[in-house]
Amino acid sequence: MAEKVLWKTKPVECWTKFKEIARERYTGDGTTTTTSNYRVQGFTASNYKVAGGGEGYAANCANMGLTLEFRRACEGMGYARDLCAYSGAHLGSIFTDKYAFGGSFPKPDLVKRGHTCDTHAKWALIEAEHYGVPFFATDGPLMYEFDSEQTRQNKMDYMVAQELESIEWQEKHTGERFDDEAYIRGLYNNFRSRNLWAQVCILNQNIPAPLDQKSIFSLFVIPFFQGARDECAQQMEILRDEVEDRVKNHIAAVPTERYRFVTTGIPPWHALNTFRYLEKYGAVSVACRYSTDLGTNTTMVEGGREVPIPTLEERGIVLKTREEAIRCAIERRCLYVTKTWRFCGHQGQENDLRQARLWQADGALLHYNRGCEQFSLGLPQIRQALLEHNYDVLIYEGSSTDPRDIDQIRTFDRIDTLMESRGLEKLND
Amino acid sequence: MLAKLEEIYKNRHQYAKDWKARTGGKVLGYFYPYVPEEIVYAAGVLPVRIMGSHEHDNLSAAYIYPMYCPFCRDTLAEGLRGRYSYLDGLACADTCMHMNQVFDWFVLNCGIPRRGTFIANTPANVAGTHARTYLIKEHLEFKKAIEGWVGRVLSDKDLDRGIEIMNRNRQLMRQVYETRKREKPPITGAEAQLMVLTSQFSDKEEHSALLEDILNKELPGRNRDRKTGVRLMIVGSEDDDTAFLKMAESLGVTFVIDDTCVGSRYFWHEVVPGKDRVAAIANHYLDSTPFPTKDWSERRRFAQVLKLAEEYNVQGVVLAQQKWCDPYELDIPSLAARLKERNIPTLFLEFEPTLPRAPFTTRIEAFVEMLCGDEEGLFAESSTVKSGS
Repeated sequence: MAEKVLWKTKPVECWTKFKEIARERYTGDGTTTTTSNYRVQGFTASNYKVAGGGEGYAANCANMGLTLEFRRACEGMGYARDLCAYSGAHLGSIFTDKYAFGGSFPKPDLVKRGHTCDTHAKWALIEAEHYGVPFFATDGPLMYEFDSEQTRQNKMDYMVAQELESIEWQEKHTGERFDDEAYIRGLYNNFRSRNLWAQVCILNQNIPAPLDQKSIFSLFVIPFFQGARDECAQQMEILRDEVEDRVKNHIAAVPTERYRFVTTGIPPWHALNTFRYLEKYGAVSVACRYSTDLGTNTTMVEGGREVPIPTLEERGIVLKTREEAIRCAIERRCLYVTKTWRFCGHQGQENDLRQARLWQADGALLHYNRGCEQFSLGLPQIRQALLEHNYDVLIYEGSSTDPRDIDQIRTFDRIDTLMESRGLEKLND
Repeated sequence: MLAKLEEIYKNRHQYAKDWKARTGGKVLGYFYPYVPEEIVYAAGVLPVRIMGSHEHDNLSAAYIYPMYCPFCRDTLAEGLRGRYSYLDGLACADTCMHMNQVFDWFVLNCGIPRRGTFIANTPANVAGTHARTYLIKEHLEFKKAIEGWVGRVLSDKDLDRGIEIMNRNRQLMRQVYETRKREKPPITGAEAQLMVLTSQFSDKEEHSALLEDILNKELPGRNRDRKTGVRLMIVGSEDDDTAFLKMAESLGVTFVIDDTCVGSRYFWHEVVPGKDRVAAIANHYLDSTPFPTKDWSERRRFAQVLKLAEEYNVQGVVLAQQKWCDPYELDIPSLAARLKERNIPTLFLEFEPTLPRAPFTTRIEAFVEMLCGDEEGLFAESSTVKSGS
């Protein structure tokens, strides 16, 4: 464990710009109500709204203290108390017709969604039925460790065919022509934004960590949800340069850093002050798989280290047609992301152990999230693997959006106990 | 003969072991009815559905965080007890994350050799434009993998045999279910479920022979003196808790129909034979009533539930759901609303592997009382309910 050292610190300078961009996603005149990812990048008209994923929006609702009301509204409509935390909050906002960023919930003209877990498509279907608008969801099967090469190909062909169909569907329902050129440009940006984000995350392996987890959770939405925009890709470069500079000059996110955590899964967005509580002990969370890759890798492993997935330019890929571009986007998901996926947490164990090692962690903070069936897969095994490799493991139960599912006092008590057992006392209170 | 099915149900593991000893064949455990059993039968392999035992589970929590579906945890616990050690192979159909987890843990803990593990990938959106092409390709991959395992190529004749075995059993189960439309159904809901479950645990040819006997010799005139009481339907997922059905049916009700994967949904539709056998099998799995995880956009399952409710003269529907199952949870309010539009009341129950008797009894009794009206409620004779007596 590191000695107690006081580091220099200063705020992240591009923070304000990032917050502005993140907010635009919900308050601007974009073509979407709740997301903008590569799937809709080729459609640029602003005279209609396409509802996409509600995860980010639900996270914001939780962070703004609105989810208790929204979850209750959802339950009042007959939906289960243990429903996916993101969907419960998002649907509750729709049912109450209350938009977290002001006014009524913006009625979409279309609902379009990628189905990446057991919940997504049905959640979107309910939104579409509620508003009486057309619905389309693309099925995204995971690449499984046991899949044959032929099956991998079958899955990719299946996904490409659906994406192409979804474009025609949107053209039909909106009258707008898909702009292949804009889509392809967006895809190059998207790869670049994620590559830059990976660089930022890897820079956080340094001691002291230039960024803390709470800040990372604010920054990471740009590369994942808005990374296709020219402006965002440029901002990502500014961020990368700034973080590089912080590393070079030993500028810490937490000036009292003396203990490093890694975390896993989706955080309790309504209780991010848990990360601030750690700082009272000079403990800082330096990495989290959810913020590094959002379930879609930004890094790959080379010689035991994680390196950013190269940009399309670096790989010398020239995309000319719509199909080439869509296949390229699908391949990133299939070939880098889930090739070794196992539902037992096998991949999670490897990833989290590597993360703890490379990010020079002393311990791991595991959120046993009752609100997400995908990101809680394999948690008992991840815990066990970390313990077997002599990392401190602190688990706490909660939900990504439901404040009723977390006992924060008990979580703080556990942090106290672990820190005290490591001989660390609170530096401030 | 129903007693024979009861025996298979209670001794399902011994049945499979005996089958192996008797035939020298392989037994393939599978986790969800989207695994194409036609191809498994074509290979001369016995498919058995892997399920839990509704016992107290103190094993699975070390592997699966307890916020996952209780049916899956119960299933894994059964594997961890070593009760499936006789399996030669294991197949999963990529149906939900909960079940896929159990598959993984079985692979790691139940001594199944890697070459005996199979994934029959199934699209999540069975109604999708491209689902058919994808599933046919994946069924071909599954067939190829099974062929490698048993060491022979499956001919059209083999596949025809597999289809025939499955279709015959489906036809007989449909005949059994047809009898439940009667004013006095000759079997209870618990007995019907026993028939479906045992068809998943045993050799379908043997099971079909038993069903034929039951249909011809046992059902005619059976249960003439039993009061049917309130005619209920149960709708849900892996609601294999026959003890619950028996308990409810002791309270003046009869489950006359169901929409569950341990009930009608398992056998309702037949494979329509075609020149391309694998395509015919794939078409069957896409065109059958979808499970909620795979029922997007068209809501085909809702249409089937409403149709069955009408055909079986149902007075009320029990919506029974495994806790933590999002696809069902997201369906239930919409389905309840559609039933309400047709004046069919619903009772929502959340299932765990072991259920406390008293609260569930109270809820069924209260539902019956509500269905029967004030003057014919809980304290009235069940024979006085408005219809179905």
